[in-house]
Amino acid sequence: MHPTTVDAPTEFASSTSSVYALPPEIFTDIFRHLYTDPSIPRRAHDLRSTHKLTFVMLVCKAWNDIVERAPILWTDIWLGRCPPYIGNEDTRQWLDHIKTRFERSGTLPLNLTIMARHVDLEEVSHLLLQHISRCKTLALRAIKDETHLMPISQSNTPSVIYHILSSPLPMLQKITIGGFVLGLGSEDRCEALELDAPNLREITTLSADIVQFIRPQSPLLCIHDSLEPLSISPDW
Amino acid sequence: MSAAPQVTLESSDGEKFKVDKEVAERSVLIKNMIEDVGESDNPIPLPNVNASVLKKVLEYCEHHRGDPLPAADADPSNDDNRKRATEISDWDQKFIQVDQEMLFEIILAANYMDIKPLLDVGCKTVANMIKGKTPEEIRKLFNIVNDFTPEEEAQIKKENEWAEDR
Repeated sequence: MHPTTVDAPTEFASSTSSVYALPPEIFTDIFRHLYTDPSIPRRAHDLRSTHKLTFVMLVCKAWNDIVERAPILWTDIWLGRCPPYIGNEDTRQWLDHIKTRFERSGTLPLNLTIMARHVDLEEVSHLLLQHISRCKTLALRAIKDETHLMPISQSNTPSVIYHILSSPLPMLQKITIGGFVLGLGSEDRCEALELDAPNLREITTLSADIVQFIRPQSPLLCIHDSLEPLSISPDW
Repeated sequence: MSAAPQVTLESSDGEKFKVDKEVAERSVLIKNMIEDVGESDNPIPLPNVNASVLKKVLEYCEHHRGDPLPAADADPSNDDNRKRATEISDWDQKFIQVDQEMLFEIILAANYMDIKPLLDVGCKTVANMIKGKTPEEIRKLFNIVNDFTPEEEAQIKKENEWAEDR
């Protein structure tokens, strides 16, 4: 049985609708089903940082309030395109939006996806470092046919990614690393990275890339002691 | 063979329903009441559920009487749970094909009586009604008034869908 909510959200506008008989905590449950429904489309390589429930939030103020107040509806954080690749938005505003999303998720474990070639990781790294320890799944992804979009390669150096992933990741269970994401050319060198992720159970990537990233000098994967069973597949 | 133990439930409008204890105990509320009060011939009052809704709820409990009890709060981030997000079994789908008012009353009753699987079926059904619709279509479906100003609406769009592809 749901407990009553502590903070009363915005009251429903006057209407004869019987849907208003349902309390906010039931709506949270309903919206959670939508939020976790994999069949609700998000384009495979969404660059728009869309919240999956935007269509629900736009129904009325009460529904918007319910979504905004429910941390469970903010656990999937998707970082798409950052300035200057979006119009009418400066970096400060963009960071504020991202910060708000992290705050709304409360202290819950996160599923974080970063479209890495279009997010200035250096700009957002201080925010990521505050919350990265809550990541349950982490995906650094890229679009394969995006060469015309001019990726922000100068900021997303391996050292920034290395710095972020060097943080303790106590909740991390799954990491996905895309082939183009890291932008490691033959001239790049980074030290082998042993993830501090005692609960990591799955790595999804192109195997060659994870080798290059985690232990570029070695043909073998650097596998954390707890990383069993290890799953590597090319279909990220 | 001795008959299965039974209990009597009394709806808010005074109608009495005699059902097998096993069926009634699909409701955690009733199970706890029976445990607290002990065996009794007195009807168990359900002041928040009227007879027509209670009849439907009991139909659900009867059909699912042998089912394993649900695990406490399944992790929604689990992939299997995500796949099940809006799936409903065939029988449950037919059972829940009722008008909106009855649907919401069943959900409220399931919440009050603490019958999590029924609450889940109700919530999934509403989720499926919402799924794939625009905000305007959802408002029409549930007769909801759009109380946003155009500026407020634009702000939500900006915050949550604020990066149009070039």
